[in-house]
Amino acid sequence: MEKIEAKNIAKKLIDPEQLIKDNKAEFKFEDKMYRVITPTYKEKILASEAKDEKYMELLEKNDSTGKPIFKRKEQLIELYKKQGIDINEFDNEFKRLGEIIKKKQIELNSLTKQNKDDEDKEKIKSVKQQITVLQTKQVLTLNEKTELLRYSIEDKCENHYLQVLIVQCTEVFINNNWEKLYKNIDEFNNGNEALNNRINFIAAYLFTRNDIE
Amino acid sequence: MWEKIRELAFSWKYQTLLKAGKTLDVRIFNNVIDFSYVQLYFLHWLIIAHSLYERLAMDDEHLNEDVLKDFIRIEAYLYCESIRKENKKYQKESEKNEIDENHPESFEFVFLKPRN
Repeated sequence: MEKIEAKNIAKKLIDPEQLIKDNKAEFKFEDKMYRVITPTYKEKILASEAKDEKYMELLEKNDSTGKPIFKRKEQLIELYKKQGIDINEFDNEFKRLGEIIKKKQIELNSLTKQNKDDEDKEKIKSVKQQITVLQTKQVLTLNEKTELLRYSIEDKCENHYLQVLIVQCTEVFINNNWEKLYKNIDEFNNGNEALNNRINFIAAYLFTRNDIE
Repeated sequence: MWEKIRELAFSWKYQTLLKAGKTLDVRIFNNVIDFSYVQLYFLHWLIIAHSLYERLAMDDEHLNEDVLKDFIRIEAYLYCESIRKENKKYQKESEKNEIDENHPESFEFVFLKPRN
């Protein structure tokens, strides 16, 4: 609940124009100014190296009996399968909903008239609502899948990558200077939760890689 | 937030800057290289918005002002346009094949030159 609240506040606080113009987002939190900047190429390389190190560390981590503690995505999917949860079903459901959305989009576009006053407004509203419901279901399906796989080594490493970037790219305005807010990941993890939620929210926009989506 | 960025792309301000950018030295971003995903996303929608405004001006029968104010309708239009485009392409190809079948002389023989 608190996370959703923080997201809503952050949405209002971030100026999208500044985000696209300067590749950075400034915001005020408890009387101090903070900013998150898009990482440079070098910073991304460093974060990527840290991610690789984390991968090896988690892969080699064993419990007292010598059994690996963490599982790769593939292994986790197999484990879920044994427990009766088929991860592929989430993808199938996502696609199935996507197909229905496409049909609804065709229906919606066929209701368009060159003169907007000739349109059946009620019908358009109803089809739009149906599309919104279907898209929400798609997001929920994706979230459910993401939640199940977040325990995998790959997802943990991705999270580590983002945290490294956050440490490198988040600054606070003190004594007329922009200074790094956190020295390391531990400091970030022990930081103010509400502040970190905002930083995470902004980072999701600024750190999204071009190969995603 | 993505919606707000798309709204900016459709705004009069950025559409004007896009047009001005072709003749004047107008820059939308402060950086000239290393575009972030957010910036590329914005550019992508800026170009789509420009094309949609042009189609609206050309009286596209599947568009009106209300569609351009609503992203669910814009996405529906873009999806249908991709189908219409695909259908046109298919129609053109089949028409071309029909012509070729009726006029076998339209086949061209290509004689390869022997190598020296």
